[in-house]
Order: sequence, then C-alpha cells, then structure tokens
Amino acid sequence: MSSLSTSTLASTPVIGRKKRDVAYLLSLGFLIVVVAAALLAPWVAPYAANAVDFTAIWQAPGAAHLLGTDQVGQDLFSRLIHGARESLLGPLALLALATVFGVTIGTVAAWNGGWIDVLLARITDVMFAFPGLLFVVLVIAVFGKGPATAIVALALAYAPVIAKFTRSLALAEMARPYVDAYRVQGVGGFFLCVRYIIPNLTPPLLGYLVVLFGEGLMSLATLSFLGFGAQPPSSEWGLMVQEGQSGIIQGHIWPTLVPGAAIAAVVVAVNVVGVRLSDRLNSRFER
Amino acid sequence: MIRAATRIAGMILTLVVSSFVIFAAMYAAPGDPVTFLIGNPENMTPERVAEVKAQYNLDQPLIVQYGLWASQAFVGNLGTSFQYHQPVAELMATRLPATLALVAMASVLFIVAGVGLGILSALRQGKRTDSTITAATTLAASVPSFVIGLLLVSIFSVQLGWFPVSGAGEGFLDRLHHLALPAVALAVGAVAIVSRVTRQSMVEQLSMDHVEAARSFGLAPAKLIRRHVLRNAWGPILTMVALVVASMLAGTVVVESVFGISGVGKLLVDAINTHDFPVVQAVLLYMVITYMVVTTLVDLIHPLLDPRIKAKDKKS
Amino acid sequence: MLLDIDNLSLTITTNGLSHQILDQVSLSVDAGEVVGLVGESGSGKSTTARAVLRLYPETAAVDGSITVGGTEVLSASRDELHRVRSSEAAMIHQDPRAALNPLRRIGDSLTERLVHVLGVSRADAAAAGLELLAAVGIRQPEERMRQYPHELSGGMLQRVVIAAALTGQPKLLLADEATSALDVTTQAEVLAILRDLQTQRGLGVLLITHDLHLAAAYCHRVYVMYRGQIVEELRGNDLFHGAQHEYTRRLLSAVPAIGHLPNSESRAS
Ligand SMILES: Nc1ncnc2c1ncn2[C@@H]1O[C@H](COP(=O)(O)OP(=O)(O)O)[C@@H](O)[C@H]1O
Ligand SMILES: [Mg+2]
Repeated sequence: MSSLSTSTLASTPVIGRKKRDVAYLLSLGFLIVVVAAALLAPWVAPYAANAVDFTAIWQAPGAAHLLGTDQVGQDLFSRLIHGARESLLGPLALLALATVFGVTIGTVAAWNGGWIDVLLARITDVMFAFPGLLFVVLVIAVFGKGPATAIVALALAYAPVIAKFTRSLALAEMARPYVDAYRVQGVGGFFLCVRYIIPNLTPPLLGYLVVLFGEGLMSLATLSFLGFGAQPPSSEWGLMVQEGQSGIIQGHIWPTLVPGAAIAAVVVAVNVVGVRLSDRLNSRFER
Repeated sequence: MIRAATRIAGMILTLVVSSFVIFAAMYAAPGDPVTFLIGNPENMTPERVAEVKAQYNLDQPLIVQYGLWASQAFVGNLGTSFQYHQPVAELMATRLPATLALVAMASVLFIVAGVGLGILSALRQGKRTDSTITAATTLAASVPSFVIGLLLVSIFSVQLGWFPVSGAGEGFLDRLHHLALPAVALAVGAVAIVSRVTRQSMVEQLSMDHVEAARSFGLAPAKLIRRHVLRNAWGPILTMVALVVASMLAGTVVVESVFGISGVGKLLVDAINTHDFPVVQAVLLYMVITYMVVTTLVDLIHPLLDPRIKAKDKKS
Repeated sequence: MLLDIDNLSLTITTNGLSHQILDQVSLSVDAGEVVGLVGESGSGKSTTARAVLRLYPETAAVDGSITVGGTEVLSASRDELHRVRSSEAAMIHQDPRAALNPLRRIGDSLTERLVHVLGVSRADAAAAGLELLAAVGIRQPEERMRQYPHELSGGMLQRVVIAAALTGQPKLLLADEATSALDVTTQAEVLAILRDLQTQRGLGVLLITHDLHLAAAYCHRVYVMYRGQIVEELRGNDLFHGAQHEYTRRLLSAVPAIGHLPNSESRAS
C-alpha cells in the first residue's frame, strides 16, 4: 500500500506559489532541526535514552519532561531525539542500498537490453505481485526479525522500482545525440555510462529518492511497530509507538502521540521538500 | 479476446513465479530447511522431523517439492500449522470473515470519502476548498495507519467510550460497531490516493469540448457532471479503487495488530513470531493470489467501460 | 435583430495578469441572415461567440450588452439564460469528434437536449432525432443512432452535431469554424446542408471562419476582427474589393487565389 501512496501524492501540487514557498522553507527548516538534534543527541537531549525513573511514569508534558514520560518514566523528548538517529538512518541506509543495486541494474538493462532487460521486467512483475509490505514480511519470516533484515528486505523491494525508473530515464538519455557521437569515436559503454549517463540521471532520480525516503521511513516504522524491525531497548520511533500502546487503554496518549506525530511530521516535511526539489532539479535538468 | 488471453496468461505466469518464491524462500534461510521449518530447537523431536519431511516432501528435488505443494494448495490443502496442529485452510477460513468485513467497511469508507472529496476538489478547482482537500488528505496519508489507529482508540474508545477497544465482534451490528475504528484507520491513507485520482481524471474531462457543448445547450450542472464528466472519468478511478482494495488485504496486517482483531493479517504476524512457516506461506499465497486476480480483473473489465477500446480489441 | 452585440468588452485575469480579449465589439445578426466573422487565430472570434451563450470563465470581467431575441444575456436570470441556451441559440463547435461524448451513442448525444433539457419523452426525441438526421443527409439514421462516435467519419459526425444543434429549434446558429476540421469535399457538402437548413428555417447564422473565400461566398455581411476589435464591416460580395482597413487588406493579400492551396481550411485556428 505504501508503495502506491507517496508516488501518487508527490505530483501536481495545487497550492499557490507563495504558500508553497512558505511550506517549503518551514519543512526544510524543520528537517534541519531534526537532523541537527539527531546528530547532537547526547548533548541536546536532557536525559539518556533509557533513563528509567519509576517515580515519574506516564507524566504529561511539563517543565521536567518537555513531552512527558512513558510507562517506566523514560523522558519522551530525550527518547525521540536519540531515536531520531535510527529512525532517519534506517531509511537512508535502505535507499543507499536500493539505489546502488537499482541504478546499476537499470542502467545495464537500458544499455544492453537483451536478457538482463527481460529479467528486470520479470523481477519487477513478481515484486509488484506482492502488495504492500508482503515481500518484506516474507524475507523477515525467513531471515528473522531485526533492523538489519528489515532494511535489507526493504532495499530488495525498492531496488527493482528504482531500477525501472532508472531504466526509463537512461533510455531517454541514450537517445540524445551526444551518446552516438561518443560511440562513433569508440568510447566504451562502461565509461560512457559512468561518466555521462548516470550523472545526467542524478537530478530526476534525486527528487524521486527524496519521496521514497518518506515512504521508507513509514515502512520501517511500520515494521518496527509490528515487532519485525528495531528491537528494544532502541528508541526507534515505530518501536516507541508500539511500547506506548499499552498506555492507551489506561488513558495515556503521550507515549504514542509523540513518536507518531514525529513520524508524520518528518514524512510531510520530506514530501514537501521532495516535490519542490524535483521541480527545481528537473527544470534545471531540462535546460 | 487475444488481449484478455495474454493478460490471463501473464497473470498465471507471475503467479507461478511468485508462489515459487514464497515456497523456495525457506531454502534461502540459514541452515537446512528441516531446522528452519521446525523453528525452535526445543521442538526438534523425531516425530516433528518426520511431520515436516512428510508435509514438504523434503527428500524430493526442489522442483518436485514445489509441484506437490502447489498442486495441494490448488485443491485447497494448504498444509498443517505446526503451531496449532490444524489444517491451515481451516485456520484461514475462521479468520477470513473478520478480515473481509474489515476490508469491505474500509472500502466503502475510502471510496465514498475519496471519490466525494475528489469530485468536490475538481469542481472547486484552484479554489480554497481544492487546496484544503489536497493538503488535508496528503497530511492524513503521511500518518502511518498504526498511529491513526491508536489515536482513534485513545479518543473514541478510551476517552469517549463510544467504541470497543479491540476484537471483531459477533453478528452484523456488533461487528459494524467493533470494526468501525479499524476500518477508518485502514481507509485514511487510501482517501488521499483516490481523491487525487478522481480529481485529476475529472479535471481532464471537465476541459473537454463535449462538456462545454452540453453546457452550451443548457444541460443542468448536476446532469452535466453525471453524464459527461463522471461517466467519462470512471476508468482511472475504478482502476485505482480496485488496486487499493486489493492491496488493503495486506494493509490489514497492521490494523488487525493495532485493534487485536483475529483476522488473516494477525494470523500472519503471529505465524512469523512462532516460526509457523506453513501458515506464513499460505497467507502470503492467498494475499498474492487475491491481489493478482483483482488487478487482472480490473484490467479486463476496464475496456468494457469504453467503446473505443472495445472496438480496437475486436479488431486485433 | 436576432442577435445584437453592443460594445462588448471582456477581460480575463489569470495569475494577477489582466488580459483584454474583447474590446468594444459590436455586431448584429438578423433572422435569415448569414453573417461572417473573420480574423486571424487568437483575435477573439471564439470568445465572442461563446459570450453569446455566456460561456466565459466566472473570473472574466464583462462589459457591454448582448441580446438574443430581445433577451439581455449578460444579466439574464437563470431561467432566461436556460431558455436562450436550450432553444434560442445553438453552438456548433469546430471539432465534431471532440464535441460528442465518445462514450455515448450517437442517438443519445443527438437527443440529449430534448430529453434531458427540454423534457421531451424518449420516443418523441428519437423520432425528432431521426427526422433531423435525414434532414442533414444521413442515410440509415436508425443504424447511426446506435453507433458510437468513433465508428463515424468526421463529415458524418459534423452533420450529427448540426442535427443536434437543431433539436431545440433555435433561431440562431453560432458556427465556430464548423467546417475547418473537414476535408474540402466534405466541407462543401456540409456547408451546402447548412445553407439549405438556414434558408428553409430562416435561421440567423454567425459563421466564424478564417477562410476569407468561404466568408465572401457564403455570407451576406462579414465582420473583420483584429486583436479583440471589430475593425471593419463589409458586404460579403465586397470582401475582396471593398476593404478599407489596413488589416483587412493584409489579411486578404495573405490569401492565395482559389485553387492554389486547397488544404488551407484544414489548418485549425
Ligand atoms: N479562458 C481563457 N483564459 C485566458 N485567455 C483566454 C481564454 N480564452 C481565450 N483566451 C485568449 O483570448 C484570445 C482570443 O481567443 P479566441 O477567442 O479563441 O480567438 P480565435 O477564436 O479568434 O482564434 C487568445 O489570445 C486566447 O489565448
Ligand atoms: Mg477560435
């Protein structure tokens, strides 16, 4: 399901230009703050990530605990900041992995055609036969739970998508006259791909990757929530939501709301920035 | 006819390959398949080993194993759960009604809300309503369904006490009552997708000459929308709705976990946690088949909505 | 006068930029009269015709007056506007393939105005439709009624569109490049049919075209439009000889003599 959503959402914004500028700057600023907080976590977080305090459980936000505490008195604000590292690095790692595979396969498929191209098409078909996160769930069922498995599994699911996207971009790029000009001069295919074609694909690909980042973050959080991704004592945001779940029935909403809102806010901000970025990069690309 | 045949053949091929992936996945696991299928080393009894070997024909070549498994699955025999010592098909049959009810309710919700908001958005194109709808639905789609689910429970079950906290309920009305919040949680993400597609498709149609022609002879706005815009915009909307409904079967995994509904999705999560691989395979197979069949059906039905494609198809 | 446009000005604002499309346009069409409106592409001909049925964006600023059969269109009430659109004036669009809903049968589109606007019973509407199809020279009308637009040729479709325009028994036809999308032979046939119908029914026709030969041959009077203004009004016979305005002369000098460029009509504006 998630693979459907963000890609359709990222196109055709109808909001006016001015409002979009404001939204873009706000989002960018927010993301910078989040990344900075993640990088500086040990210094900016008021408490350690797992500082248990049984005298202060399930506190509402207040002076001592900015965003309240959870069922064992851990400071939610501090956990959020510490957890930002894993929550943001996870999607980053998965995209890096998927991009290396996807771009390589996609370029080769476009350049060589032949059986590699056919194979890519078949693999994508099979991948798309698994709705939502089911392929990932299968990989986890086989290789066991844990953040590494979740990341690799998601990377495997994303690689064909990126490969397909790269392939279509590369095909368009290869139709440009300069490619033939170099070929006639006897420039090798590998050199041409690495030196010219792939660099020229980067701008549109980058915009797409930013959108995939938001999607990857949601997917990883979902897997952690199900218990398949990050494991305790991590304070990954999806896992934080899962741990907060027990408090809901007793009326304690903060341990769920805080990490849940963090996920949503980052995903929204990333999408706003991504749409804007790909607009810009693409217009520069076309010139 | 030819198009339909190729499409169905393609579907069957993809089904064969993906079911093979589901089956052969156990060979990718570290260690030998017997150890993997038994899961917990404590269960490594001779009877258990025999049971596993019998169920999976592990002494045969892989392709034969797959053939036997697939042909058994084809006649409804999905093996026996190692956890419950019960046929997987039976397990699924008891779990299926709750899941299907959940998907049906969520579908009604997201179709009504998504198509409705999309129409409204298209008719107010470029105005405040339009941008508000886009912003709100996009925002809602950025909140993971498990977060939405938990917030709904917190507000409507715990604070207000209007809905039960968990379970699927018995009987029609009780079930509606139990599944209302889960259905909302499942539907929210889809509203953005469907309203976006509806809007886009309608906007495209609104700019058509025949729409203006109909307006020029005085066709009332409501009829104009119905006869010239919606009627022609249905194709992409229907396709997207079907795709979303089909992939919702996978989305229930999360929502059923949030609301403690013992449906097929919860069964899958539990099976992974207990290393009950026959169940994992069966549930995945069922979800993939449903998804493939629905998407293929839509592909086949789509042309029937448009006489132009039908004509082309006849000629080919 | 059947149609009277008096000092019509129309300004559209998009993205904060105002764009005056019509500037003090005045023209008239009498019953039984064929009046041409010529000018280069983008001069505002279509906008003028559409304004007659009040088909401009809500955001347009409109000034002046348009009366159709005595009804002031610009300030008309909903009912009045509905009457004008449904049974006093009808528009024939340039591209018949686009003007008909591709998903509906010819019969359905043909009778849509009668059934869904004027409240005629389906059976009566079908009978009227058949009669009109015969009147525009379509053979086997029953069969055509059951077909879809993609199954008919462009010339056939334009006849259907003309027939559909006549279903409300209008007194005024607004033909906006109604034959430009057709090849020359078909164009001549369709024009002949239009002419016959016009004389039989005493229709007033505002014929928009960028084909000056056509305008000269077909119209009693011709207005020349340039950049949103009417720059000249001439009798049809005088078009090629009596032009006073500089723009009209340039326009005329750009036109090849008949027979040299038979396809100039198919260049859509
Ligand atoms: N809805 C609109 N919004 C903005 N500009 C328009 C609109 N409709 C027409 N125009 C502009 O008005 C001018 C006249 O157009 P039109 O009446 O179609 O000319 P013609 O039919 O003579 O070719 C053109 O420059 C066109 O771009
Ligand atoms: Mg025009």
